[in-house]
Amino acid sequence: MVHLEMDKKVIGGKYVKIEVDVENDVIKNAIISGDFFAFPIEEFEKFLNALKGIKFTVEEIESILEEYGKKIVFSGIGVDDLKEIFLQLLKK
Amino acid sequence: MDNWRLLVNIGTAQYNMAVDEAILTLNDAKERLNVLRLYIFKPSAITIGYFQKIYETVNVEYANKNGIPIVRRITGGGAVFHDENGEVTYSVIAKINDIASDVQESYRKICSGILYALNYFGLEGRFEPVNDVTINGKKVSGSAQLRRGGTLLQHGTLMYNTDLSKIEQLLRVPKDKLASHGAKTIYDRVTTLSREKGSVIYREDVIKALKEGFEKAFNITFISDDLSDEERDLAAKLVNKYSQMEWNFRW
Repeated sequence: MVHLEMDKKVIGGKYVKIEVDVENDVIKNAIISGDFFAFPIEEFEKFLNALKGIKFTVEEIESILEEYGKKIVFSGIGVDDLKEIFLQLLKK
Repeated sequence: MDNWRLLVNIGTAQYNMAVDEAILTLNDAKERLNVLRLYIFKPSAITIGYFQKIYETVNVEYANKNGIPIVRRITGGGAVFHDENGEVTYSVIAKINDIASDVQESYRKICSGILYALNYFGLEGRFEPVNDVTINGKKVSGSAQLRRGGTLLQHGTLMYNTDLSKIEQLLRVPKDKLASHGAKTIYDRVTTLSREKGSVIYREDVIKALKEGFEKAFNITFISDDLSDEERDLAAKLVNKYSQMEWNFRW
């Protein structure tokens, strides 16, 4: 199992950190933390759960972000910030 | 001119967070009057944002040693030290349609009530997106909003005499976060009404100023009220959640 993490302070916005535990190219656990805002929190929880068990690939991440980006309203960070961090993590 | 309920109370962090959630839940369930709560945390406490990692944002050991409870909110945002003798918390629970559908605009509108409250003391504040009110570039108030269905909850601080040294001891504020606001220490970044005014400001005056400030901001009249039995019952159940390690120390 590999633990990967990366954070970002959005200029004029908030702080966000993504952590993923990856085993055999599959996300086993994901945490997205920080002082940002997101609602509904129930959808955010589903988003975190949906990340678990998917292949850690650009296509899978983009697909989940697209789906939940429509369901969750973020303030202080954007879906693009999450995507940017995930893409950086994928390069690690 | 619409009527809103005004609720003023002193309570524990667990109780205060439970009451906010109870009113949000019940107001979203059926048509009820919008609410402004003004409340004090007794004892002093820390609340952290829903998405925050507790050990990254709070000096938990120091808080425990000093008997300062830490409670996770249902709203996002950052960690806050609620000083029993130096801070009044407000919460607005209202229909989104009565405030603004755009999230940033709703922060601006609600925070204008705080700006009016500052005027009461002859102070000029500024709303700084996403969720801050500053005086002379220093933060005096921070807010956090959550929406559920057609209703929003926005709660936030107004520091009138907060012991800033406690913030420094209790909260882990990253240096780059301070630097992003052009600050080196917490004293460059955060202030209180008393510090800015140069004289002691009292809690009762802050409560009066906030009441008048929100009346002006929303063009409403307040009816002083107490919690209903329904609100009290639901809050009593929710206190449990806010007292549990599983919730507060989730990560």
